[in-house]
Amino acid sequence: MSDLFELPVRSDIASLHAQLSSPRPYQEIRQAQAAREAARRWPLLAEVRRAEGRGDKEPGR
Amino acid sequence: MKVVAVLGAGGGVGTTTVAAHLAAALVAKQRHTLALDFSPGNLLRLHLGMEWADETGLAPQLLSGKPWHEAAYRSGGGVDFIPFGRPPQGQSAADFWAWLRKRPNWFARRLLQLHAGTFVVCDCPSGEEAWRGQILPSSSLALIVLAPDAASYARAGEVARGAAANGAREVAFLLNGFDPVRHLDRDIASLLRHDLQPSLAPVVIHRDEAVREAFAASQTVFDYAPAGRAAFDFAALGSWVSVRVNREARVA
Repeated sequence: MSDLFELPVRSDIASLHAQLSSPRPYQEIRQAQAAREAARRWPLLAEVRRAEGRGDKEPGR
Repeated sequence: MKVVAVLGAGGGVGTTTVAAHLAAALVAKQRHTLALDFSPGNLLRLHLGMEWADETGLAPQLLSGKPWHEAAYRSGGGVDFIPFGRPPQGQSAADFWAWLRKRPNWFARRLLQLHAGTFVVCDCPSGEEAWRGQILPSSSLALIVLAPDAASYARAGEVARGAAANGAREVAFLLNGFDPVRHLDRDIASLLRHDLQPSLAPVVIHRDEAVREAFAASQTVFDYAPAGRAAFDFAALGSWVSVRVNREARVA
C-alpha cells in the first residue's frame, strides 16, 4: 500500500470538493460575466448598475 | 378578469405598439380580449384600422356623460378596443383625468361588466398619474416596455417601483426593438438578462421594419407581414402573457 492515501487532504482540494458538491449554475455565471463585460464598456450603464445595486448578485456564491 | 397594464420605461419605447399587438395576439389565441387606450396620444386605434379623423372614444364619451361601451369597436382582425378619443370642444385630457380622480372605482366597476376571463390590455401613458390608482391595483400583470437603450435601462427600476407602489402585484419587463446586430443592443440585453431576472419576459421583440410599415398601413403585423419576425415575436408574447396571467390567477 502506498503512502499516498496517508497524505493529509490539502485545504484547496477540500474547497474544490465542497464546490463540486454544490455546483454553481453555469448559465447564470456566464450571464453575470456577460453583464459585467457589458457594463465595463458603457460608463453610464455601469453607473446606473452600481446606483441600483444590480451588479451585486453573484450566482451560486 | 385578467388586466394587463402595458407601460413604458419612457416615451417612444413602443408601449402602444406592444399593447395593440399583445391584444391582437391574444385574440388570435381565441382569448376574449379588450384593448383600452388611456393615452391621450390616441394612437392605439390607428394600429387597429380606425380612421385618423374619427375622434370618438373613452374621454369624449365619459366627459359627455355617455356609456363607455358605446365607444367600443372591433378591428378587422377581431380585436375589441376602446380608443382614448378626443375630449369634447373646450375640454382636454386634464379634464378626463380630473373626472377619473373623482371616481376612484370607475375602472374596477367597469371590469365587472365584462365576460369573466376577458383579457383587458391597457395602453397606459407615462407621466399622468390618474390612471395608475385605478388600473394597477386591478392588474394581473404590469408589463413595462423597455427599448434597448441606456434611458430604459436607467428608468426600469424606477418605473417598476412606481407600479408596485400603486398596487401592481406582478411586474415584468419586455425588451422591444432589439437588433442583435447592434453592439449596444446586445450589451443592454445581457445586462437586463442578468440584472432583471426573474422579471424579464423570456420573449424579446426584435426590431423589424414591418412594425413601422404595418402602422403606416393601419394594420398590425399579423395582417401586414404574418410570416415576419415581429409577428412571430408578438405571437410568442401573447402565449407567454396568457400562461403567466393564468398562472398568477391560479396562485391567487
